[in-house]
Amino acid sequence: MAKYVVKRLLLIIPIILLVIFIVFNILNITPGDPATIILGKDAPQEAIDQLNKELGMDKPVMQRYLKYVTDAAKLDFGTSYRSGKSVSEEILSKFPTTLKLAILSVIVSSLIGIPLGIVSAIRQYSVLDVTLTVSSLFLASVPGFWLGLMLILIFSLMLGLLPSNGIGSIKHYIMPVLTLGLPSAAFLARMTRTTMLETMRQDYIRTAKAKGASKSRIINKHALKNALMPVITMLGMSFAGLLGGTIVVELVFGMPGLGSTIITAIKMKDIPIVMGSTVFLSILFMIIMLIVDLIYAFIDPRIKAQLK
Amino acid sequence: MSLLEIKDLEIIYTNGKNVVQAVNGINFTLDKKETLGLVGETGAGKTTTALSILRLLPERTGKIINGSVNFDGIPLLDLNEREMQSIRGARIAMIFQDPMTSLNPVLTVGEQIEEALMLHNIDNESKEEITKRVDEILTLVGINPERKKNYPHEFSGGMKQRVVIAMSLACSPELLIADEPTTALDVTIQAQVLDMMEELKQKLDMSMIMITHDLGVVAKTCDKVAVLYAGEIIEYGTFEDFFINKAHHPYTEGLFGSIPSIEDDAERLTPIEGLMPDPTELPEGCKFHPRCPKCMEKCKTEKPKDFIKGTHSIKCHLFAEEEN
Amino acid sequence: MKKKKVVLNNKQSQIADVWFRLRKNKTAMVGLFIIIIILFFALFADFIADYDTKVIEQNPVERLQGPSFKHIFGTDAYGRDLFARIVHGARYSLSFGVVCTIISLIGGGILGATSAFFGGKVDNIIMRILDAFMCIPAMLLSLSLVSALGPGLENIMIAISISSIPGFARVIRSVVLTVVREEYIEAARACGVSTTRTIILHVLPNAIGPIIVNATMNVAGLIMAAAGLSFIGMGIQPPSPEWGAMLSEAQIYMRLYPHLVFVPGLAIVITALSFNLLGDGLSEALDPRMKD
Repeated sequence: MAKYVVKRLLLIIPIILLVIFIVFNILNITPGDPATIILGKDAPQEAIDQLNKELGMDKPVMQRYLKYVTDAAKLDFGTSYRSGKSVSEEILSKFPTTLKLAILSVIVSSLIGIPLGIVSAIRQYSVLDVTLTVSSLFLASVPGFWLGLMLILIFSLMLGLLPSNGIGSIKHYIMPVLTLGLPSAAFLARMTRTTMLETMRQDYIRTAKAKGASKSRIINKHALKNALMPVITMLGMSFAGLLGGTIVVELVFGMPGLGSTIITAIKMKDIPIVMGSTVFLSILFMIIMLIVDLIYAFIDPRIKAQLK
Repeated sequence: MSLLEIKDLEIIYTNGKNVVQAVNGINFTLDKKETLGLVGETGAGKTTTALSILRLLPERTGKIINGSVNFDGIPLLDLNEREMQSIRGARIAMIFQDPMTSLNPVLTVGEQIEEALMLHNIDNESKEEITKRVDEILTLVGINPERKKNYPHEFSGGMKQRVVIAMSLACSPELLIADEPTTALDVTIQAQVLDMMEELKQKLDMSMIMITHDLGVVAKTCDKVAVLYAGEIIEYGTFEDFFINKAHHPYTEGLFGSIPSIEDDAERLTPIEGLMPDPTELPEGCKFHPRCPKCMEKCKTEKPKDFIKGTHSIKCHLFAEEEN
Repeated sequence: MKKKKVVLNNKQSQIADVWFRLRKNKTAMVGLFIIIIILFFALFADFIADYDTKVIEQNPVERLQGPSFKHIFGTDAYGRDLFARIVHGARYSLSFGVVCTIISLIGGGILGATSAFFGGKVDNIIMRILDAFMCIPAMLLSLSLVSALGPGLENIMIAISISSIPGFARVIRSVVLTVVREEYIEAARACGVSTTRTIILHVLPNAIGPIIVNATMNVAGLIMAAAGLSFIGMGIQPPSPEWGAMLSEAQIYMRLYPHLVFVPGLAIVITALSFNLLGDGLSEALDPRMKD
């Protein structure tokens, strides 16, 4: 098992290098050189050239990339053009809000989505199932920023129940969590329903029926464990998706998390922040997917056996 | 009284648009300790018939539209779901074709056999007694009881089928339905498994329905044979009627013609020409007539009756002439 | 009795079959119907309302009106007719959704099919690069691409298309892989049919189902993603009547004039929903097995 974990961790490294390479190259073609961005357009040309040289901008891209990677390995993602603070510091100070939002949303979405998906599969074509299918398609079609705005309209502006801006209290998190969590719950419910239906069609379910097991026993003992395994993967993916989805939601609800930081940075061409946050979130995504695989390996006897 | 009696059973499959007539009015009986062979090509309605006895047809698509199934005097089609559950696995058990997929991959084989015992634990046996029973059954099918902690993927195909058999025999059922139990296995393993089933059947005083397309398997295990074609029993009789008598339905003759034999020095096998008819558009008259080498004008329009001679019954116009 | 579906080379009846099942699916037909209406609006937008005078030109006298006979959706903060702007906005959303999906489908198709068909090293290299792309949150990838390429319709379209290429490549790869492993493909190859011919005649027709479903649903996703970019201010810029941009502009008037936020958002939802409904119906129509 430990060997497997180490192997998987090592396999992540080339992907990280590739991710950094991709992001580095995309951002490298962004118009405007860093010194002009830092000093402003009106600064004297010599000062701009001087600073660009200090930042290593005169060196070829490949060399700068290698430097970035070696620095990143030491958790040094550079310095913000705007605030002058280190990027890692900036990310770490903003990330807790984003993480809190994502974790709360994933909890809410799985608590709503998974049970609904199971029930809907068991009662296929019932009123509940049809309602769920339609409403989950509806939620899958609602962009987060609009859902957020509608919630603000109803709960803040019309009813005055919830604050629409900031992160002061737990109340501030209710609407953002719903905005992120509801569509994700709908997604999970749909996926759970599909895997559950798929599982219920398997031969071993028929075997269990032939043994004389009752429907509830078949569901609890035979179907659930098999059906929920793929759901774990989807849970991991939706968690990773939620981390990305916070970008817009933070903007709508004025939450000072990593998402709003990234948007500001992109608008201000604060490349080191954009670069660092993108790399950070991508690595996080890989780690989440790795954890999912490990959980998988732990509960599925077939995979477990392969690892021995 | 016979153990199982099936009368005028008719089953359809429907998906909203097409209606497939899978079983079209079949009759047969099975006595205690008897083995009936249900023979026919893929799509003849063998598995459908078997599933209908246990009422395990696909809920939404499969429908029994006519007929009755009596088991030990109980009209199975009239039972409610709960009553049916107490019969499944306990009094009638079924073995499915593919042992690779018929075991739950996330439960150990021990747990799966144990479940069958727990579900029908009429004598209120303790946990230890059940565990002991699991060991006994595994030994019975030739598996080391220590392997009960293993998962299905750790067994080979033949071993898995042994596990499936163990599971179905756990509660000593009176009737065992075996749906092509050896088709998915290697030829060498097939014989082993068949021998074991035959032996266990004797030991446990069971009746058995052996579904197969292999006349060799029938010859080896069955007391009675029913040949299914397009959802109808076209020939029905005892072992002797089939393997000693010479009068057969042309389709059965075709089946015999498709088996290689060491004794006959036939130059080549004589397969049956053509394919099973599309079950959504069955032909008029005798359903076999488009493929029948002895087809007459009458066969194209008129449905043949069952022509009965002692225990032997054949659904073919050829024998009507013989009778006259 | 097993009802294994025999795959006959009978395309015509297969398509008819899918169409029959799709027509029976009411929600899918509603989706298709709405798509046709939106398409109609997008195609004839210029006949419904003149772009320069109705959509762009400001008319302070009529600003911030509620719905009325003259302006069925009311007017915005610059006195422009909201209905006219929504109708013209359909052009943006459909081109983002449909055109970008087609672009990423072609891109993903080439990568995925190459990967699946050649396997080995080629497969490995392509898939690892796509893996890396998939690790980057889609929104961030498009944001970075837009900021690198600069604003403008084409650049936004490129940015959005690129972010959904890896997904398509994966789907197409797996579909092609399953199909390639099927025996009828082996049979075709064994008969000496050339590789390209195998792909075009045998692999593609059988792989097309899941791909169409994916593409239809992807259209909905991209419409929302594009609106999101504009909402953030990194996509289509005001005064162009893009729905996301309109929402972003309307935010500050939300308290007093909620219709300004409600209408463009609803336009996005209805458009995305109709594609999702169609996609969902298609997946059921193409996979009748799920009905059992």
